[in-house]
Amino acid sequence: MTIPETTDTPPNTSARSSWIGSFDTASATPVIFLVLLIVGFSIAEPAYFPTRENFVTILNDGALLALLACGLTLVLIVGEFDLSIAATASLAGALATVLITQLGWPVPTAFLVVLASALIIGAFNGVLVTVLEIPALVATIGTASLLDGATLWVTGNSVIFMGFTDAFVWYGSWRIAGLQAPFFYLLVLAILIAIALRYTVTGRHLYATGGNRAASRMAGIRVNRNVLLAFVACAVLASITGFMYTARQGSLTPLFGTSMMLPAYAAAFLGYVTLANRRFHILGTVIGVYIIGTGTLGLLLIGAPAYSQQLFAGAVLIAATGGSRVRNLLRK
Amino acid sequence: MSLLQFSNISKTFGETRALKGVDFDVREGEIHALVGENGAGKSTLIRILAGDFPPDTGSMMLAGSPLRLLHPSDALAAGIGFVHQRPPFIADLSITENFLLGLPYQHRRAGLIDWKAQHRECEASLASLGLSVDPRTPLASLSAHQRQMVALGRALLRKPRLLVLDEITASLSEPEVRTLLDTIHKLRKRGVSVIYVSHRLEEVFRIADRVTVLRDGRRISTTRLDEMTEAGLVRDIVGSDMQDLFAREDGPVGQKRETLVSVQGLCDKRLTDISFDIAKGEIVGIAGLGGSGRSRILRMIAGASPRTAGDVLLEGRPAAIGSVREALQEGIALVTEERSHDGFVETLPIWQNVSLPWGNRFRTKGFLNLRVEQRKTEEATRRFSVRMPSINASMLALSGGNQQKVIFARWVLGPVRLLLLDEPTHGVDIGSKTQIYGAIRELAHEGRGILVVSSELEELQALCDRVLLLKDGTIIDELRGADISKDAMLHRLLSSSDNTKVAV
Repeated sequence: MTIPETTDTPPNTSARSSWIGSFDTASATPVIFLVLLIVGFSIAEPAYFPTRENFVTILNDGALLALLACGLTLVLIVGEFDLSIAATASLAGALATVLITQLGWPVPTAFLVVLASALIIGAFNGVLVTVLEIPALVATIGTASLLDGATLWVTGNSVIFMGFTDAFVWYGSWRIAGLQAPFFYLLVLAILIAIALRYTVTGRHLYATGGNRAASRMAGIRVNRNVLLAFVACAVLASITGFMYTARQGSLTPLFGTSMMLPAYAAAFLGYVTLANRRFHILGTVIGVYIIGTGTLGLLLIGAPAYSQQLFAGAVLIAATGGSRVRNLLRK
Repeated sequence: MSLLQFSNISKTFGETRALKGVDFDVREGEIHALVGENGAGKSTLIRILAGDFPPDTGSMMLAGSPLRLLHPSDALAAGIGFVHQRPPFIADLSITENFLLGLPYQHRRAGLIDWKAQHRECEASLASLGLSVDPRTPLASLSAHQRQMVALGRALLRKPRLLVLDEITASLSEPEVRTLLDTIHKLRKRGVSVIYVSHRLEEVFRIADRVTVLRDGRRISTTRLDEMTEAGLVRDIVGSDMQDLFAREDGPVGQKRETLVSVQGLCDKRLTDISFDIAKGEIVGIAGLGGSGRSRILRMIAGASPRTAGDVLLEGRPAAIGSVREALQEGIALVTEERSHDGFVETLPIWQNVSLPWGNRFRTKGFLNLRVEQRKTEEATRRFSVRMPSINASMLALSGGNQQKVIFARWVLGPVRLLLLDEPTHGVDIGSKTQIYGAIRELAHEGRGILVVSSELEELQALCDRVLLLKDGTIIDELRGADISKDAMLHRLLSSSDNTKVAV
């Protein structure tokens, strides 16, 4: 060894930190924002906002949107888009409803069929984007339209509320201490995904793929496989969302997923911009969903009109993105 | 009579004096070649002429009146046309649309563009240059040579008095070069003066009336070519001063070393029968002119570019190099030239860039052990004296030299046996250069084989045990040990092949 040790490398502290300590401290930023929001509304409406019922409602109502947004986050991490998530969720709900209420299938079997269809949808998107090299925006709009068509065909384009068995509804509505089933599904799946992203080679490779494909390829990473994987995982999560949403509702409105898509994107981007080094991550996405949920409920309670969810999500997203940009400009 | 006259032009960028009091003149109806090594000041001079930036001192005259160039449009307005090595075209648009890019459409019908007439005019212009194509087809369908002709036709549209041709033959084959040179001769007959910038001296002798040599920002000579020999020209270009930076460090000579890699008959579209061996611990260089396919040899061996024939044997056994991933598994790694393009992932911190190909090595029971990973990657960066705020910092916080050292650290972290280096000191400051040279020697001492491509011949001279000379798509010769000198390499690369003497 003849290469001299340097004297000028500054001492490094961060590399010696513990596992917990090495977890991005910047991840706290969206949490702080959420806390500020809660404190703000609590001061503005001390009697009605900071109640146990409200917090439970926020947690329950946001859970399925958060699950959908977690899947989307995976696709965003590899640097792609998926505009078929809403249609995938809608089709999953429709398939489950028709199989269970009209054909009398057992719920677990129907669930497996829904998962299988998710694998096909995700792989289809992945192949369009990687093998056929169709831009993801275009490819997934096409898929979304195909899936919506399939949903309308399967359901006959009508609301279904007959034949929802207790067993089916139970999957989406069991409770522990007020918290509903979807919240626990979210808790488990989000933690699993977050761990996979940070502590597995595949997770690392997903981030590398999204960061720089050419460089990832030169490091021997199977870029196309990662993109395909992200689309499949996203479709699976969207299908679980659709299945549980329908079970929780106890009725099916065709194309119910459509209204969830833009909030899912808003949440993911909210998580993205609030982090100092700008990356999509699961905690940010989940917090993003709850920032939107808290803001919406808070605004309702202080007397804002019902359509304020869209207004709030849009305003926060633009303010967060533009705000950090303005800060950067001012720094220069 | 002089058309263009540059007097005492100087230009400094930061610490670098790019041009030092250069005089340069082009006569009416003359083809004037401008030659020199990379960094000699050719492009600075051309860019001043193009109005990209003004000189610090000196005066410029065109046809007897002072020339003021504050903006690229000033040069065009003054009647100076430019054709560059890679014309800035839009591949999806038609040939006509590219031909007229940024120019007014003359043919109109009721205010709307008369496409029929525009296409016809474009077709006629290109036909006069000997290019017969359907101008409605997308530009993407044209070869490099045909694009060059479109660029030339486009420059001629403005009826320039002076045409600057900047390395336009770099990616062309010999027959294409011949057509292009014929066209330039015809242009001169029409009274157009030409500044011809090229690395290829045989072309210079074939086409130019006079030649100006730049070296280290100074004008060394301006000579009529019929009074100049090829050897003399090479001497002017190379000079004789040699810097300490590139001092050779010869190891023990003559010792027998075990063969590590044997490259056999590698071919692709423009390279034929590339064959050579690399021993363990040996540093082998490839010298060739720009566009000679140097980098593609590395990319083929690394599984990053397709090959039409040939094999790579590692210690006598055929290596699977069907993809980068396969090559890596064989222990063959490539350090690319454009780090930010395909070297590092800027969204990952430094330590994750170092460990990028080696995730599996830090796994215990299926999960990454981040603590071990950070420790090992930090050790690797320390070996190469990477200056960084912390191992957690962004790659973008590092200088070019330190980014390159991080990439080197990446490849010592795993079992790499053959390291392919494409322009290893591209965009690297002088200080880091010596450190990188030290690192490369060190990596070789440990028994790896190293194959280096560099356009800086001093670099090859300083580093290599052997240098392969690449010309006309094949390896024409090899220099060893003390025989490796910049002079020797340039002579062999620039002079025309032994049996085809210079013909004008």
